[in-house]
Amino acid sequence: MRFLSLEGAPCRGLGQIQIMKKLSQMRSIRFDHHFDVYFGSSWGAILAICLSHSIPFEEIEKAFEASQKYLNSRAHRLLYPFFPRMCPKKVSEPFKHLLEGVSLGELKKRVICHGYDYQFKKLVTYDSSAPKDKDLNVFELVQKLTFAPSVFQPKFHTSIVDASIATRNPLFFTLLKYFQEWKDLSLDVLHIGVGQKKQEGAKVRKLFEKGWLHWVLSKQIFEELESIGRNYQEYLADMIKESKLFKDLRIVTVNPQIEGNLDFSFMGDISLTPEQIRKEVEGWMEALPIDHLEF
Amino acid sequence: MDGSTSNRSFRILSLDGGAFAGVFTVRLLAEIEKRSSKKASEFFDGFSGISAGAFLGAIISYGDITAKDLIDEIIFTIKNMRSNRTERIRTLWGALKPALSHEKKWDGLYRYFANAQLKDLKIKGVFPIWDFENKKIRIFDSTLDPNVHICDVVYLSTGANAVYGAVDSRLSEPKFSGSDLALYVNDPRLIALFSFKEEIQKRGTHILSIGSSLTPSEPQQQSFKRGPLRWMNNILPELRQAQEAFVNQSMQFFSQEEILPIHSHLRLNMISGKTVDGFKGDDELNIFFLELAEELIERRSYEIDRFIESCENNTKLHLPVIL
Repeated sequence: MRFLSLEGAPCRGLGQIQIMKKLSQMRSIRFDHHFDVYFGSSWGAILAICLSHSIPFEEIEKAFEASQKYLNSRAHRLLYPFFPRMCPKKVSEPFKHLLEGVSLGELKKRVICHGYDYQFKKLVTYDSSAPKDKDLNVFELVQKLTFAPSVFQPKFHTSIVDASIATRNPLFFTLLKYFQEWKDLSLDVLHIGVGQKKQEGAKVRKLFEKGWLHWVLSKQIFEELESIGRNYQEYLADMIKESKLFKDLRIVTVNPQIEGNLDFSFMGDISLTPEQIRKEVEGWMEALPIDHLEF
Repeated sequence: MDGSTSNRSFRILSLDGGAFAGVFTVRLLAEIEKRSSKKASEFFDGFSGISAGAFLGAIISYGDITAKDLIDEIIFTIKNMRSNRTERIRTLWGALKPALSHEKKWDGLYRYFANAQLKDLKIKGVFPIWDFENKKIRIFDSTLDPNVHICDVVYLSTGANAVYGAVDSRLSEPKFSGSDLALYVNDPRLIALFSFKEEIQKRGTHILSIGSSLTPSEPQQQSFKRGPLRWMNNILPELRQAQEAFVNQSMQFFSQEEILPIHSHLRLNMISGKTVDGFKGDDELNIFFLELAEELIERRSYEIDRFIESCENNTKLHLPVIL
């Protein structure tokens, strides 16, 4: 079985699309057909759902770009540290014509995505093959799964929010949850991350000598939180693979190095424009060819 | 390991970080020792600790001290490590430069461990740290890294960058740098499962996990209306709760899906309305933590007894995870 696992962050989805487009050309494969199951967290869930509904890359890219332009707007960036300004409906609006009226059970491929139940403090899994989830409206679901409460106006009366607060990488949690179903199968996983910031160790060391005020103002605290969270999830996925708990599991991870300052948001880097993301990822793909990947 | 312990299930002690709330952890360990009539280093076969949990785990598995005696020791050590008023004012409570002294902490640790190495621990120890220069989680393991000095590993495990700056090892060769992982990952249970996987697969396991840092977050609607600047107060408690949920659910999968033979798993977590202030460490705070520990022992007394019983009889026991 082939799995596609997609990490999530609002403005990094375009980078993941760039990578998939390149891999698709190199391997002559269609990302909407090639995989049996699509996993996603947060904005990775939107990508997973769009792919499993056979929406072409160009359409997904347009929707991501329109969302990103809204997130990038200067007014939001200036004001949202003081009160949550962004309208979750406007962020998800570009996906409405692609996903409205579609139920989870209608998707052509199996999709597994996670949200975080804020009220009951637990991760909740939605599975397009599960009878309880088949009738869920996909558009309403993605609005919840990408609803980062720190950034958006509290318009939805839902206890399900973006799972990024617990994990933005769906791989480890999904493999564990479906262990009994998949443990004896031959599994090939392609995991596409949202990228990590390039950082020089010496600079980080200097920063730490300056006290916590500088640490917060320079946003290094968010970078550290993100780095630790990302590495922890990667470590857990590696351990699952190395420990041979599954009979035959292969995981290929693609995670680009991205420049750009993290914005004052734990939930994603909204300072990067679509053009910057494309440039960064294309530059990274040239510097580190990904055609050797086997999946 | 002697013959009496080689056939029993592998017992793991997993200790969360929690800065000066470590006194809470030690009080709970003292209760386990009292009820099992064994020292923690005899009752458990391996431990994993993050931050303060690494420090406490190392003391218990290196020295001859009982957890009961360690309570007073820890209070004394905390008093010595905290910054004084002059230091706090000089650094504007750490805003301008790291407020806690490396040297004081090193001296405090060296008093316990001197030049001892990981191979000198009586039970297997696993210490995850954050390699902030290479952006990687690095795990020191007493079996795989026997010649690394305990003092170095504990020094880095507890080296929160925000209050200590960047620290490096001092005794071990080659030298290494690293810091406290507890900024985001405070609970080492999953790391312990993978580090002790071979023993667990061979013998099955009982896991006692003590958490000492869970602060309830504010209700969603109150907190989120204020925007990220005000939300800052809530972000760490919220992240901790989300991590707690993630690890608890993952542990349930390991157990229910029979991924690894976990015979019993008891999670004892402190729920405190107070955020632990890294500068404090005074008597009032110690009393507060001890009272929380007493309250938890009373509330979960039945489960503690059943857990010890399942360890001693090598039997399976399902305990619900309770916050």
